[in-house]
Amino acid sequence: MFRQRRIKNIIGLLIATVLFFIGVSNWSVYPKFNFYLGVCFLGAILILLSYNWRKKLTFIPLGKSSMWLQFHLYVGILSFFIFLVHIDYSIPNGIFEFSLFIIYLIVFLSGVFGLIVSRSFPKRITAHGDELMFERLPIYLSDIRKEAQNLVEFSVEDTKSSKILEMYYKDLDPFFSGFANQRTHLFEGKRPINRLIRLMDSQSRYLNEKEKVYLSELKNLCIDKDHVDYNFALQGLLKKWFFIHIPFSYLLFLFGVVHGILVYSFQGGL
Amino acid sequence: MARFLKFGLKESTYQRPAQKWVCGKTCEGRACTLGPNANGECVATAQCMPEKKKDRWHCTRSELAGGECETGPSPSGQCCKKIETCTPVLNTRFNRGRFVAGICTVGLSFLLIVLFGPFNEKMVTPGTLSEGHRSMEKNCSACHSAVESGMLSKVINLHKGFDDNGKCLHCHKLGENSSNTHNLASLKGQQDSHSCTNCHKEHKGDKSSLINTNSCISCHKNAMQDGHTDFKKFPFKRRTRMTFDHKSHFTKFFKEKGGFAPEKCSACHILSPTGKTMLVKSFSVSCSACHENQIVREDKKYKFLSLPLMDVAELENLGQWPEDAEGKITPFMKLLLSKDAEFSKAYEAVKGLDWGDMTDASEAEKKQVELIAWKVKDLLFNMANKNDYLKIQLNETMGEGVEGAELAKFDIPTNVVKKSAKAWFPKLTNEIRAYRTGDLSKLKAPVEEKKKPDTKKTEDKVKVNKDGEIDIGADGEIKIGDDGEIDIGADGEIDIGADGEIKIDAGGEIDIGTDGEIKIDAGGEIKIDDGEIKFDDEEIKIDGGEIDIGGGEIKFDDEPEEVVEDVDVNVELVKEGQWEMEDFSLTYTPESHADKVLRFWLRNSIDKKQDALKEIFESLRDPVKSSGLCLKCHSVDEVDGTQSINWHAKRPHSNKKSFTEFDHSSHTEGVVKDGCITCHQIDDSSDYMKSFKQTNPLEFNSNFQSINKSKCFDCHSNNNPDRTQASCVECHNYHIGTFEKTIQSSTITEILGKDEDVKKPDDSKSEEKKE
Repeated sequence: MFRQRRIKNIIGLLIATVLFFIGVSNWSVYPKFNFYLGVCFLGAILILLSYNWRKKLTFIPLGKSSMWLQFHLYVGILSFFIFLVHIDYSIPNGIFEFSLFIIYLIVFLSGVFGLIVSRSFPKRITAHGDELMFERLPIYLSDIRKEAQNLVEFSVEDTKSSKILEMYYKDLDPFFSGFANQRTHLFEGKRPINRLIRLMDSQSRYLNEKEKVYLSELKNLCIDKDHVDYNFALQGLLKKWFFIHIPFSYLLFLFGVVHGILVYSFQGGL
Repeated sequence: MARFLKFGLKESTYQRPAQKWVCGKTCEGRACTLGPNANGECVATAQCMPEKKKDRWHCTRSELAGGECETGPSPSGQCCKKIETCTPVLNTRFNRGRFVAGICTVGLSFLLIVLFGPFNEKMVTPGTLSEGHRSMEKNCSACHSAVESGMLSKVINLHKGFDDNGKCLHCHKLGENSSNTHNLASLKGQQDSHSCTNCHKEHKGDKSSLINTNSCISCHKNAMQDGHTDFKKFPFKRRTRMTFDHKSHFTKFFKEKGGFAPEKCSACHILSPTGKTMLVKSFSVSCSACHENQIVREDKKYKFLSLPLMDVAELENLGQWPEDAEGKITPFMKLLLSKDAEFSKAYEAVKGLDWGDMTDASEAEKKQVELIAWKVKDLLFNMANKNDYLKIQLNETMGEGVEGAELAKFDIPTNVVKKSAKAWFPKLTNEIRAYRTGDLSKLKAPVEEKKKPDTKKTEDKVKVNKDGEIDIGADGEIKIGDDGEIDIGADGEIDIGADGEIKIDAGGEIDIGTDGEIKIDAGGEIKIDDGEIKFDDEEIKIDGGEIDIGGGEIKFDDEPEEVVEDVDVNVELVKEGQWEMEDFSLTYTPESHADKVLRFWLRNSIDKKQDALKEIFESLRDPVKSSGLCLKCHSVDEVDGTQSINWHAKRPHSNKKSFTEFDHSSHTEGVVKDGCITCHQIDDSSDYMKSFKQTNPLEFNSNFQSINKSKCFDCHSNNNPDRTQASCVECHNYHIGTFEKTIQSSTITEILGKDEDVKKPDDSKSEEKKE
């Protein structure tokens, strides 16, 4: 279903792009073409920006959010072609126009990044294990830490040995005390968790059978903690890219309006 | 990992991600179930709110928090499990909102600095200006009226738009048709308006072109649909200005005169300084070797004056007329006499007659011919004796358009005219005097009588003998009395008094004053001054102690002023410069190429209404027989009913722009393999000279074959891997016409002056300053 929709949308985007460039080749010869193209571009930015408001104004029946997202994506891609034609495939020279150019690039590239992560990360998270609720991740983190500490303390009482306790506070407590290895998780890195497991495995030869049971449970807690870290890293990025995309989108619109006014005023003879 | 999937009232807390504030202990995983209020305040006090059931307080702690506690509430109903308060924090979404607001604030601040800051013009400018406009980089108002009104009013007045064409046209003078398509009057109203910025894009840096060539296609799209349209007779729009048949010269004339044959086109052609046009070299370089001696030819003299053949025997009142004269009235003579109604009438009446044989003519016709003869003599007399007669007469007869300065370029040496007059009519003065007084009967008397000057008026006062002296008579007296004599006193002497004056006073004395004049004024005095005796406006000249009427003249008002005596004139010697008396004609031989006299008459006789001027032009037009043969090579164009002579081959006008402009300099021999003939090949089948049998320059047969567009597009094509420039403006101009030179960039700011000047274009003072 999704695949079919995507194929349809891509075909639609290709047709729109081809039509756009045919239009450009025909109309670009007209004197005020670039001015009107700029107006269209500003309109496209406004449409793209309205998706954010659609999400805020949930009480108004404006169609499905998923439909809006699709529209947002393809208009966003089309806007890039409009942008290229509008700047005449060259980097603007003026300070203000260059700022506008940079802002658009930030918005567009952050959007592309957002599209990529929002399409790939959920699959990765699902493939990694249970998909956890981002807001609950601190609770899970806290629970796992408590559980690990309880386990270690209980092992001391039960085995009359402090080896596991010593190992925990020496090597594992920093790992359990907060979200760790975020950068490594973004790139599917396994080295930190593997290192901890190797560490625990290397200690097992010095433990008796009872202690080994506790160590095994502690190892499981490490794996659970690693899964929480993984979720935190990927879901965190899924949320953080908006911190770039959204504010710069507003800024783009603001700068675009001022740019339009300036162009209109200074174009002369319009 | 099953732990992560625990959801439910007892398994997990309910998450409210849309709430603005979240518990400050959330990140520690210890968020309380109550959470902060809407204002972001922690409202947690205890883990539960005990419930009173039958006088007993019961714990109500949720099972998620551990269920009913062991201790239970206090007797007063207070929960014993206090919750540690926290500092609530903002939810991620609201943090993002804050971040958005922060970024927008920074951006807005930047915008305010851009628009209203001290460097706003530098910030707003979309790029550096082209080299030509560089000097205006710090003066936006030189080009943009938007800058003049201030930012706020500019925004308010946005709906009105800003037409800045006027700013451009301040320096780039495009004339009164500046807003027309291609600046052509004929294309007025083709489009509503043309903004300079439609095609010219500034602020693209100094290296970029100002011209957006795509703009051409907006109108010429259809024409370019299948590529560039075919050339029509390119590059020939009209026939050549100079009649020069390349074919006949190369196939015939140069072969006959082998030594003159040029080896290269550059022998006669040279690149213009702009590099755009190939010019024809000067006459002296290109043509004179063969054609100079065709211009200066003794057998092609131009007759300005000529005595017509007259039947001397039949025409009784003709006076003296050379029997051998066999010319006719020249167009020049007709022009000079054209204001004389009598002459014109008489000429019209008898122009069809043979004036050399008037045997069968009526008396009336004879009188008309005689009148013409006398008018000719009178003309000759006036030309010989009145200094400015010719100029005055030409000024009157040539009409408007020939000013004094132009007339000054033409003159006939008076000496030649005088000598010619004396040679043809030795007694011209007497004849003219008789003619003017209407007493032609005297002219029939013997020649001796005619020779006596008509001094009728002076004979009343002074007797003049045949030697031209004043005869004082045997009595030695000069008497001025009632009898018409000059009386010299009773003692018969002319007394020179102490004062040196000769006075004819009441006593009959003549005083000679110190100033040497003999004057007979109202007081009856004769004064001697610079050798003249003056009778008011009349003169008696004293030469060598005598009153000589020979070299000098006795002049009378309203009568001929000079006496032409019977003088032997050596015909061979009547010549001055290019002017010469030849038999009974006064002729002019062209001095060289570009002869001033012939140019004067061609220039001032072409396209004129007067018959005489038309005749002059026609007499100079013949490419074979005319004097100077000017129009053999210089073609005559007639455009819109006006004729003009092409004095030069095509010369590029530095400020004139046409639709197509070929840059010869960039197509040098290194570029085109075979040089000029790569494009310019002689058309053997063309009848080039036929074009010059009429005057319409647009009807022509070129000497050369038209150039096919493939000649250009072999190189100038987007498909060419070596891709030579193929834009429209490579060969075409948009602005068509003759424009004033654009002001040098360095002086633009200087001319525009300060902003105040630009703001007040109507201010005449500032305009003058700019000019």
